[in-house]
This record gives sequence, C-alpha cells and structure tokens, in this order.
Amino acid sequence: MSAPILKVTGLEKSFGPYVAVDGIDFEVEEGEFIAIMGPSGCGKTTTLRLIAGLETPTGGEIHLRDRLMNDVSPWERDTPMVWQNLALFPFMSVFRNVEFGLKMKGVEKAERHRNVMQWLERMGLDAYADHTIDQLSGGQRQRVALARALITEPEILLLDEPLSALDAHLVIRMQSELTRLHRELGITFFYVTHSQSEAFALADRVIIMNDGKVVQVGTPKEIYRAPSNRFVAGFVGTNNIIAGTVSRRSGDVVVLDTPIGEIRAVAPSTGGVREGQAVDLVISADRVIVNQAREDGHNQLSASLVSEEFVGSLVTLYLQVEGTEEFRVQIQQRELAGIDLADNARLNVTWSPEDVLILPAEGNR
Amino acid sequence: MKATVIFGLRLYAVLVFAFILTPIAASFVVSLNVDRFPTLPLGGFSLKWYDAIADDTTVVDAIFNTLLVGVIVSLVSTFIGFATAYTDFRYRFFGKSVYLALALLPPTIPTVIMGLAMLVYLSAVNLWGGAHSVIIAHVVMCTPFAMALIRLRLSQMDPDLEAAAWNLGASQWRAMRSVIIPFAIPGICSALLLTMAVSFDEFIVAWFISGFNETLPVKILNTLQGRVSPKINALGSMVFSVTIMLVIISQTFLFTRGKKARGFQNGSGN
Repeated sequence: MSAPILKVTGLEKSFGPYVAVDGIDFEVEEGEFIAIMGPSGCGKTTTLRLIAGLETPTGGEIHLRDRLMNDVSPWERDTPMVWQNLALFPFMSVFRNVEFGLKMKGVEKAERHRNVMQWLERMGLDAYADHTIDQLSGGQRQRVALARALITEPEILLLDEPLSALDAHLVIRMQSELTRLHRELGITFFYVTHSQSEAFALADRVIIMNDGKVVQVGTPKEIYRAPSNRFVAGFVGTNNIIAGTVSRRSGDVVVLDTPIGEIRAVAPSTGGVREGQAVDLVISADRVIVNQAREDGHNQLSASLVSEEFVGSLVTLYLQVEGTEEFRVQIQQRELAGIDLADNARLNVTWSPEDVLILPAEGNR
Repeated sequence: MKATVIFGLRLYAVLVFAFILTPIAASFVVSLNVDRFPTLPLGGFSLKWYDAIADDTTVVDAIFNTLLVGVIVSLVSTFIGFATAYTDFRYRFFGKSVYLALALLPPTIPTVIMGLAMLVYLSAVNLWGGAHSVIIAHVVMCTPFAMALIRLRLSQMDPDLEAAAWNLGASQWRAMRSVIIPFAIPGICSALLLTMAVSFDEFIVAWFISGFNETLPVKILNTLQGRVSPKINALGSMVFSVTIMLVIISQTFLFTRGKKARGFQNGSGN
C-alpha cells in the first residue's frame, strides 16, 4: 500500500484552559471512507477544522501526502469541506455557488461553465442553475454543497455532520448518494458524525473519539463486535455492561462473580485474566435469547419485563434483573409472538459464554 | 371601553405627529406663497423664493459645501464603520467591549460640547475654519451610525460563510470581496444614505467650526440673524425634503433586504 494520504501525529488543540483535542494519532489511506464518531464535545469537529486549516494546532503534526500542513493557510490547502449548516452563499445562485472554487483557482470562464453544468447534471440540479439557495429543498441544498466542494476534484473531502439537518428518509437517500459518489470518484472521504448508524453504514473504518482522545479505531464490524473499552461498549450498539471479578478459570472458560450471579465467559484470546481481577463484562443485547431451552454451558437469568421499545423490525426489551438496574435484550419482532409479556411474567434469558466480552475494569468509569 | 382606549391612543399619536410636523408643513406652504410675510389668507402660489435662492451665490455656495461634505463624510464614515463592524464580527480580543463602547460613544455626547471640543482641538492643530473641518467632525459623529447599521447586517450572517470561502481557496482579501461585502451591501447602502442625511442637516457642530465655508443649516441661521426672508422657508423645506428622503431610502434598504436574509436563515435550519 502507498503512503497514507493523511497522517496525524500527537495532534493537540486547546482553547485557553479547555483541551479540545488531546494528542491524537491516526492515518488515513488513499481512497478510504473514514468516519470520526463520538459524542458532542469529543473533539471530532475540531479535528476536522484542524485538517482544513481553520484552526491552528497547539501541538503535534498534520501531514497531507508528505507535506507538513501545520502552518499552511486554509486557502492554500486542497481540503474542501461540506459544512454542517452547509454554509452556502445565500446571495449567489446555485450556479455561482458551485462555480466558486473554480473561480478562486483561476480556471477560465468557458471551462468553469462546462464543469459546473456537468456537476449540476450529475447531482440532478441542472434545472436549478439560476435558482437562489432559498428556493431549494433541504436535499437539493445538500447536493449543491457537495457539488461545490467536489468541483475542484480534491484528493480528500471533509464532511462535518452533513446529514444532521435532514429528515430521516432523506438521510437514507443521501447516504446512498454519498456511497455512490465515493465509489465513482475514488477519493478519500473524511466524515465527522455523532450518529452510529451513519458511521457504520458509510465508513470503511471508524475512529471513535471521547474527551479529545481517540479511544478506538477499526472497521465498523470490529468496533461493534469487540469494543476495546467500556466507553466504546456503552456508546456503540446496545450493550449491557456489568462489573465483576474473576472467580476461577476452567480451560477456555472463565467464571466471573457479578451482582447478577455467576457468569461464564470465554477467556479473551489477547491475554490471560488473573483470579480476583476486577473486570467489566459486555453482553451485546442482540445476542441474548429469551424463553428458549438453555443450551449446555450457557448463562441463564430470570428476569421480569419493565418496558419495550419498537425500532422497526427490532424490539428492545428493558428487563429487571436482581442485582442490576437494567438489562437490555434486542430481538426480532416476530420472535416476540411466542413470548408471554403479561405483567409480572417471568422471562428466562440465556446467552452463550462466547458472547461475553471481558474488558479490564477502568478506575473512574 | 376598549374601543375608547384605542381611539384615545390613536388621537394621541395624531396629536404628537401634528405637534412635530405642523411647523414644518407651515414652512413648506409659506415657502410657496407669493407674499413676503406669512399672512392669512395666502397670497398665491409662486416659486419666486426658490428662484431667489438660485440667484443668491452665498446660498449656492452653502449648498455646494453641504453636498461636498455630505458625500465625503458618507464615504469615509461608512468605510470606517464597516471596518469597525467587521472587526467586531470577526475577532474576539481583550477589551472588545471597551472598544465597542468607544466606537458607539460620539452620538451620546451633547452636540454643543462636541462642537466646542472640535473647535478647540481643530484650532489647536490648525484645521479650523473650512469644509475639511466639518468633514472631520461629521465623520466622528456619523461613523457610529454606519457601524451600527453594518453590524446589524453582519450579525445576520452565518459566520461559517467566510471560512467556507477560505476553504474553497479564497484568500482573506478575496473572501472579503466576494462574500463579506456582497452580503453586507444592504447595510452599506443604508449606512451611506443615513450618514449623508445626518451630515446634511447637522447644524451645531458645523456652526462652531465651519468658519466662512458655511453649510446649509449654518447659512440658514446666519440669514435668520440678519433679516427674516421667506427664502429661509424655501431653504428649510429643501433641507428637510432631502434629509427625509435619504432616511426613508436608507430604511427601505435595511428592512426589505434584511427580511429576505432572515427568511433564508430560518429556511436553512430544517
């Protein structure tokens, strides 16, 4: 593989006493669709603005290709951005908005015109060239913003929560549009979002940030199935996180003492666990089975239903289990038919030791 | 009961406007009257007092001075006002509230004090007694209005727009030319007209420092002090008409364009 297109080392940014980005490292390969995800205030947008040159780092380095970018002004970089609020120029027509980048680069008029019309056609906006921005719908504005950023044929496109202002059905449409553009253009997309569904649906790799630090980097599948720490486990997917201590070990299986009783887990492949060690257990809600015969060696709990929540074809059951505040189970809607959900009905939940992930306990969390 | 209150309030408003506008209206009517003294019934319609103005070279000079001062003041104070408003929009720095307070201070100073201070200062630095003195003083007085108008307009602007221009390869100067100024144009036009209006009918400070290069309002007082002539009514009507026109056009710029821009911002939010 060639050298990374973007390399960030020890990057820091503080605003007075407030540290927004606290020494992060990552690399982005050419042509990758990479997403930075994290809760608000985690430093993801600041990271993006640092890459675009809109903020100056207070420490560390940013390399685009092999060029050190720290002191390069934003207009000398080739890092166009799609803004969260789009930041389209309200006093210009659609055509002039899209043309802007080419004009600044000194492209001559005839070529600008040809290029802009090509992009408008590609985005299905050719009929709107003379419209003003406020005459467009949300989805159309979104496409103008994309065309405006992409018209100069950059190597990397920065996107700052570009879909956060759209209606749910438009979000899905724009996601497939983004995937299509990324495939057709073959350039690097660098996408900031707080939405897990967007990040996982779009990105080849996801960088998860919290409190100004990178907490995990991996493919969506890796992050979903094997969160590397308690924060990621809580932030991604629907997981039950239970504190416990290692009681004993028999072969591949570790037995743990927890407030909800003994739980059996497969020993982590990465390293051993000692007896008496404090750990956090992650049990993914969609791996738990309700009211079926327990298989040999599986964990089992008795629970009562507190409430249920329908999300499309999935149902999340909020259960009461002695020793913990809440135990969540996610099942297919059709599985629900065979389960008695009457008040005070006892539910029998089971799951395999393979679906228990052991994380070293963290002191303060 | 409620209807009586509304009627009372309406009557009150009409009376207030009548109180303010009757003398001006009277001056208008009398300026078009053929008689030398304003007596009822009116003598008959005539433009002779306006003709008399055109024949009086000192008055024509005063008009020319006023226009020259007005145009220069309007350009200079709008430029400084824009620069100040942009500084406020773009930067955060220590002592910014003091900076803004200072920038908005001049209109709060009583004009007599302002005039006296200008007289003392401009004589000390040998700039007293000409059109240029009035220009200097009026720029000081008009800049806050220009700044306030342009600042109001810039406050409606999405701060990301400028950064978006940089991001697309525009240098700071090009971003200023192609994004900030086009956005601020309604505010700038409005400021040009309003500062011209303020300069056009400002009397006291100009009276202190204009020396022999009188502006129109000063000319009016000086004429009044000599003898009462119906020319005064004609002059007053002209000054009033021009000023009120400038103010009205200025407001039109600000409100019609401003409303449209706000509509866009609300629309983009969903």
